[in-house]
Amino acid sequence: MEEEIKKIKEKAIEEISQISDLLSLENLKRKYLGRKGLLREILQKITQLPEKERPKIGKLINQIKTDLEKIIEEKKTSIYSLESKVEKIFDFTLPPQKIFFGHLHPITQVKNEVTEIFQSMGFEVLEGPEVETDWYNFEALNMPIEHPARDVWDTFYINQKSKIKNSKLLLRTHTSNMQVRVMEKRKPPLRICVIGKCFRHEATDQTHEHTLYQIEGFAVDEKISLANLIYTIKNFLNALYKKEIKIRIRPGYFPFVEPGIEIDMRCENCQGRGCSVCKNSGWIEILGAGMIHPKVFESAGYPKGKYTGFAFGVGLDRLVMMLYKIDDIRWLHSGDLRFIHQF
Amino acid sequence: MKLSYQWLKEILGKIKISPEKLANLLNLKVAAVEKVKKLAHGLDKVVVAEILEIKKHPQADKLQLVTLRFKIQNSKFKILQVVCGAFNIKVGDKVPLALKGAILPNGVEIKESIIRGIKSEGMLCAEDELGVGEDHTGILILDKSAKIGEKVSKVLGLDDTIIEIENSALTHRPDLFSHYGFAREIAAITNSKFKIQKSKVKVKTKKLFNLKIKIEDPKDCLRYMAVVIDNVKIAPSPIWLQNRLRNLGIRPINNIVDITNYVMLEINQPLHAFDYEKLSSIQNQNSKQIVIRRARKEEKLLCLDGVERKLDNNVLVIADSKKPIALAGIMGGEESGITEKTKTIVIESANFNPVVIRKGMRKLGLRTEASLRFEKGLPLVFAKDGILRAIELIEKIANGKVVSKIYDIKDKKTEKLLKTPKKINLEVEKVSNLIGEKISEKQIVKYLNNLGFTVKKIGKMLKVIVPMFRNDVEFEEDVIEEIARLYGYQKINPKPIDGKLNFLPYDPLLKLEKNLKNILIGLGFDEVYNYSFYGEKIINLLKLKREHLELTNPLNPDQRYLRISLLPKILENAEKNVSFYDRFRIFEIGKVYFLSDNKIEQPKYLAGLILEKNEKIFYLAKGVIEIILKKIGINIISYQKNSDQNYQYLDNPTTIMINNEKIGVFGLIKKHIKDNLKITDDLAVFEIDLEKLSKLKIEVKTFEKISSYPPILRDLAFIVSKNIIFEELYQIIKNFHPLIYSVEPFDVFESEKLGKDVRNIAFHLIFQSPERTLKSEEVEKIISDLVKTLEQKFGAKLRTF
Repeated sequence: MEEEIKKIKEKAIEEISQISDLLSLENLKRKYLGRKGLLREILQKITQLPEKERPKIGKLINQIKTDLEKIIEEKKTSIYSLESKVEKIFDFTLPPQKIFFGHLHPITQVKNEVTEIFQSMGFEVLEGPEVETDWYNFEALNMPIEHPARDVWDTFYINQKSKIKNSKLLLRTHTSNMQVRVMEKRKPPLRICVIGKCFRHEATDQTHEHTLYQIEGFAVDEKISLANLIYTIKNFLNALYKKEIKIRIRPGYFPFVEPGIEIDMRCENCQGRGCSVCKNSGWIEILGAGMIHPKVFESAGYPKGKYTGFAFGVGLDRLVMMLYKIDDIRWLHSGDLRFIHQF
Repeated sequence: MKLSYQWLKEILGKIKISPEKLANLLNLKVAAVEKVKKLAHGLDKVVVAEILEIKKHPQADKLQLVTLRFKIQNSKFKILQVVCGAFNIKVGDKVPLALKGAILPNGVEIKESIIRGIKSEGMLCAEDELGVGEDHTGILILDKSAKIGEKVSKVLGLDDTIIEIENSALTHRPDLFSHYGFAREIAAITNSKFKIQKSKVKVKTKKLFNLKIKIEDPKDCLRYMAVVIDNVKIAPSPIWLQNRLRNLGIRPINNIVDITNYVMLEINQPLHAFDYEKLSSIQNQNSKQIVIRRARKEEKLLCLDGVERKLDNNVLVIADSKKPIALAGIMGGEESGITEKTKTIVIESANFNPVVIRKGMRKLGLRTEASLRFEKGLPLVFAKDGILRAIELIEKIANGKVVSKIYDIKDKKTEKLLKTPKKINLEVEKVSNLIGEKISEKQIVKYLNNLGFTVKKIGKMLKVIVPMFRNDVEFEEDVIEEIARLYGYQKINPKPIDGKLNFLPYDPLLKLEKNLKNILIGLGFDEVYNYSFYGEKIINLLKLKREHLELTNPLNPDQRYLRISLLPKILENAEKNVSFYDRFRIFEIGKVYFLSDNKIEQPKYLAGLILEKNEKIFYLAKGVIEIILKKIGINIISYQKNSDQNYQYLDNPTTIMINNEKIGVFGLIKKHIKDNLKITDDLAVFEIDLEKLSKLKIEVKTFEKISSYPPILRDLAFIVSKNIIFEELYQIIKNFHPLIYSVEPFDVFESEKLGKDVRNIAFHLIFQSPERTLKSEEVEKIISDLVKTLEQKFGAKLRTF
């Protein structure tokens, strides 16, 4: 019997040496080591042996089983490595399968970024109404009827007929309309960022649009200062551009702030040396800001002298155009997918 | 607002800084500088030449041949010929001649050229070509005294730099629309002394001429000053005066008009000069009347610009005893204006109500240098400064003699205002708190003194007395602004906000919007932003029934109405893109606007469009809608036939329902609309009200145990009448037996082979128990019961393969 077992082993080894594919190897494994395999067959014959010989033969069969398993495993490895060595012609330059994925409008992408930055600084982000009353858009912001500063905000008015009993209606010219809207409902501390669509009654060309997007930010508390405003703006710009941005602060006039300032950003295109983007000044006007005017607090019904606050406004579309170097503002509302697909 | 560097220098004595540095300083401490322009820039090769002869161009009616005499520096006189298109020249005129090689301020390089066959050796220049004005109606004719060969830049006084300040940055600073105003600021920011020389005019007259001045409503005109000056000799102004005005963009006219303009640019008081003789006399009296009143209906006035304007009660006018003679604060009348024959004049120096002036100018659509100043509300003191300065100059330049008293009409209120300067209490601590930077009391006082404020210390407070020329300073904050800008905004150290760290809510609608956008791009949708308006054309095409909000002042008819739906513009997007792409999906999220119970509603909508070749595009759209809704946590959606009047352009209009609330609609675009948009592919759209969606209660998902026992899969196909809708069949199967774990339709089709009016609907069924392994017999039993039931209920026949 011992002879028979050894022959099986030899035969198996012989067969393995001639195998060159995994499937045949698998079949061979079944033939010898399987549940109905040759070794099993022999093992069942062990009962025919005298009891004295049984452990020895059993041990031998087990030994052979282990050996064969090892040899098969080695063979498997060598087949794999042989297969991987065979050079196949493979053209990785063929185009990928078409996967249709949509694109967010660049305004949305920057808006999302801006939202995250202000949320991280503890500002609540709001949007507010686009059809607005003259009161919230102008009067409550210290711009009574016939205030000359209204010239800066050319306005679309709604034809009111007799049906609408509200005060004079218009399309908001800035997101500052939310200042008094929020303040009259809530008490400080307030840290609000309003991002939304605004409208200006002006003809459209390469750099002018009647439909635009503005980021308005304001903070009100008992001790808000200009230094807080500058900190907020600086960190906003640094976060947006992901590097240290140099700013320049100048006096500016907006009826709803006092003091009023304008903030310029050093031109990133030329590093401040002067180029066509910054009209050779090295600086780009991006933002109007200041400390909220006492008249605005009065409009909101806040007690006199109790609170101070800052407010600022940035053109979102201007940021978008600067970030992506878009040379004509009209692309933004073109609805042209050749434009959208670039972002 | 244009400033002459030379003029500022003259007022301040000496400025040590260059124009560029000065502009930078003004930019950082006073107001935005628009540009700095060196006037003589590019005029090196432009010289004075004399016209010797003018001939017709033989080949062109609109051109002339001009022969000129000129020289360069100390050379001999030379003669050359140029071809010229202007006709305002005559022999003997002195004109600016740009020689070969000159590069004009507008970038044009002068070369010898052949114009219609004739050689032209240079160019004669108009004002705008020299960069000194906007006029392009003809060649600038120089004064006779100009020397031939002299550089034109010298003749025109162009040795100057103009600093242009942004007007909108000065809206609150009516004191700064003049050279004195800026001289004061420059002195303050450079920490140097400055005092305006007070006019030394003394009126010695026997009161020969009388004026009767009447202000009808003192609210319209706070102060009216006037004086009669006789014996004036109307002539061109001296060259220096002409140059100064021209350099600042004002065209010289005659000495009197030029002086009024000069005083305006110097002191910031607009003046007006009337011809005394042209004013109607009061009957039987040797005096003339001036009335400041609102125009009456139907009154008209021929203005100095040659335009006759219809007036009404909104317009304030200056009138004589009979009719209006000038638009108060805006423009004079032609009839009462100064002419070459004028001998006696009335100079007006007034202070009008800014709101009235603004209403008038908007009513008339007329903006002038005067109205620009009056609409901001001028300091009352300027009226007197202005009239005295005018008298001084008229006596000196036009030989005039004052022959009346200096009238100064004002009511008690104005008188009181003139006597009592504003006082503001300032808390030193508040200055540091608002700016966020420690600023000492000593510094505060110094800054304010520099700007002409007087400061007194009373206890812990500072009492700040505002100079009469600062109308804009009213509040403590206004004073703090003055301190902050003199301190320098750039020096302020940024500091983070100190405060309570409150819970920060995230507006549910904005959060939903952001989520939806990310889901939609995953589904292959591109985002567009559209205008909020459209025109009648698309309203009519789509037969939109809902009343639209309308703009009073649309930019064009295609932007007259506010959108009630996002889809009209999205269809336009599709029309535009179909020539570049054969399939696309687009969406927009934005507000729509309409009236509801006479109130304005402006909810936010989501609209989407799918374009591709796909017979089943309706169900693709349905799939998109369901995925979107499921992704935000809404699993139970039902549908209804839509009959909304505003979606008449849809085929198969279907309402999307959640908890019995209509939240949106979808469907296919009708053929005639597609034809109109030149779209041949299949086209589905949907629109969802996000306001409603954001208010729905989203239930938190509960984990469902996953059975560890093996499922049994069976496919069943039925042939049923087309009258039986899918949902009926589906619900019966799904709820037939608790062991039916899931039902998934996979093949719905019609075929002639199946028979008429029937269709095939096939399902994958999964049977599974959470507790045990199922036996195939029990599954077969359920199936045969199910088949029986469906046959009885719907006449459905099990299809055998």
